[in-house]
Amino acid sequence: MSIQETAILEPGLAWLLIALFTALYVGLGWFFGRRDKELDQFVLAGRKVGLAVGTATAMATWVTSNTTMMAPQLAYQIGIWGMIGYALGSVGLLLFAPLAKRIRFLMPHGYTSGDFVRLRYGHVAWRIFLAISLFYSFGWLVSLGMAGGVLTHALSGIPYWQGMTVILAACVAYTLIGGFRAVIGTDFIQSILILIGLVAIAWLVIGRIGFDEIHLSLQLERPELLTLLMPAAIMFLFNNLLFGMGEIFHSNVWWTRAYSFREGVGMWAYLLAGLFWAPIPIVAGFIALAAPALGVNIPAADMVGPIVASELLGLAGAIIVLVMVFAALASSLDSLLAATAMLVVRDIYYRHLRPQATADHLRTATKVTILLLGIIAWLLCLPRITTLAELLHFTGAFVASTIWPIAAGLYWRRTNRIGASLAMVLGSLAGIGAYFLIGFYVGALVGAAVSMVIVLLTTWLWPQSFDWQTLNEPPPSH
Amino acid sequence: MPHRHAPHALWALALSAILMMPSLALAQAVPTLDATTQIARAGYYQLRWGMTGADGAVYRLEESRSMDFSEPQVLYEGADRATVISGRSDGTFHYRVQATLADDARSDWSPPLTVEVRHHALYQALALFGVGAFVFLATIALIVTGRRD
Repeated sequence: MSIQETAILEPGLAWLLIALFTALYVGLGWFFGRRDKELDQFVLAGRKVGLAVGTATAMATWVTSNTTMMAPQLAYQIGIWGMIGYALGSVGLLLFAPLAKRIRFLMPHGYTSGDFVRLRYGHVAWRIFLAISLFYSFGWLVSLGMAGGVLTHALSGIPYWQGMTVILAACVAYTLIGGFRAVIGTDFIQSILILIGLVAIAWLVIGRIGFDEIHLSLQLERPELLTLLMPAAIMFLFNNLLFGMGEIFHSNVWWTRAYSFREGVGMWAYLLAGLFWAPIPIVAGFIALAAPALGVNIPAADMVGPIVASELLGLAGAIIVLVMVFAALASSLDSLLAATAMLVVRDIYYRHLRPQATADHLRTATKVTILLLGIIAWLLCLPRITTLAELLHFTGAFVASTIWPIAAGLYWRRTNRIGASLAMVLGSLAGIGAYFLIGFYVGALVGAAVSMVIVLLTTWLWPQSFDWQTLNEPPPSH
Repeated sequence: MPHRHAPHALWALALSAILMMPSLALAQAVPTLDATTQIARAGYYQLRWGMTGADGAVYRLEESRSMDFSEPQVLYEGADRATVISGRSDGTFHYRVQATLADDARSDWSPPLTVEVRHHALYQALALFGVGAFVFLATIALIVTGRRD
């Protein structure tokens, strides 16, 4: 049963916009990927991505439904710190900049983040890492698919499952057609659409409703959203920062980019992307704080961004939000599909099941996997089991427990395989415990802290002497 | 000749009674009201309501600080069937909802629902904030001082 009866966009107009942009992205996907017939070109764009496209793809991928819809949700739920805490997600990109440089230096022929863990820590840690990474990827995929359904429902009343299905299918289609070059090419276009949309909305919101009115309404109706000492919000601050770091440090989405960038590009691309990204959640979150001043009903926290924008700005606002969030969703969904498919094919299919597979066979397997991932994500999205924030933050405990094994593994010879495995397992367990005992706003924080302590202790107690050359694995013969 | 119209009047009365029956039955029914949590530790929660077979109904959601709803405040009036409350300070809040049907008939109030807002202890929040800051700074130190060979 629908919980919202009021919507700004006519469903017909919403379908038309979705169809137009789907056609645009699929067309661009075909155009960008039309010459990529070899495996390396299909999955890593030939390892020659330059600074402008590199920065745009990193920024657009990190601007997701999480930024455009969860930043308002968190601002509406836990106030000022929710908004600022979300902006601290840029720290993950900034700190990954030196890591990207080091990854490219140590592993010039690498394909996945799994390659690093396998070569650095051995098979047990690698399999634990793969489990964490795949679990996170599905969490992120499902949250993106859900966001597509929530967005179209909030703006136009289109049933959740229909919007979710169409948006998911569009992204699967062009990722399938064009491969990684289609992903980064469309990211470039999508990042421009996102930035124009966000600046337009912020400008219109501030022009139509003043800061004073927003502040007064919050003070009267929702005072805790303004306080800097709201306990849940204080805990959320570093939790979100560490969650973002965990997501970026471990995920193949970011590692494939590090491998695909031309030498010397990775560091600057990630630094610039982090700097460009930081203000976006502040702007997106601020929109939600205008809800009480407008007197608009918010049926579900993850609908607040689209509802406020369309309520305040009418039809134009609703159209801008639909185009912008569709771009944000697509830019992340395609990246995630491509990177997860690559992790599944290279680390599970190729390394575990078919070590003799040819490049052509692996290219086909990558396409089949993209399709399968889309179908599984669709099935998981159908029952809308929780809100976007709670779903994604559930994975936070797992990914934050990989921060220290990854960072220490890249910079310290002495960190050992037992320590890395224990840190990921015990860090995840502690984080999940905190998630259920305290709340979603502490899972990543506790996971990262426990993992750090274990890495430090085991490195100190049982140091190994790792040879960095081990990471320079020659490219596969296929 | 009023007696000649009497059978028609009776039929009309019976017909209208039959037509009104679903509305009367719905008016006697009460909406359901539910919350995502009974104790909100972060100051936010979602309220959901509804009434079976009452399509097109308009709902009125009231909030009060007292159980008897002596000074109720209308939080929402409209067709939506949920709302998110957030930014509340510690305290106990009572809610009830009433449906107005298409023919303006009103249902009874739903049974009252109570939600307690009780924020986490500040010392616990500050302790976890400190842990988070330490992990963050230690990670920066690792990257800055790590090997470059």
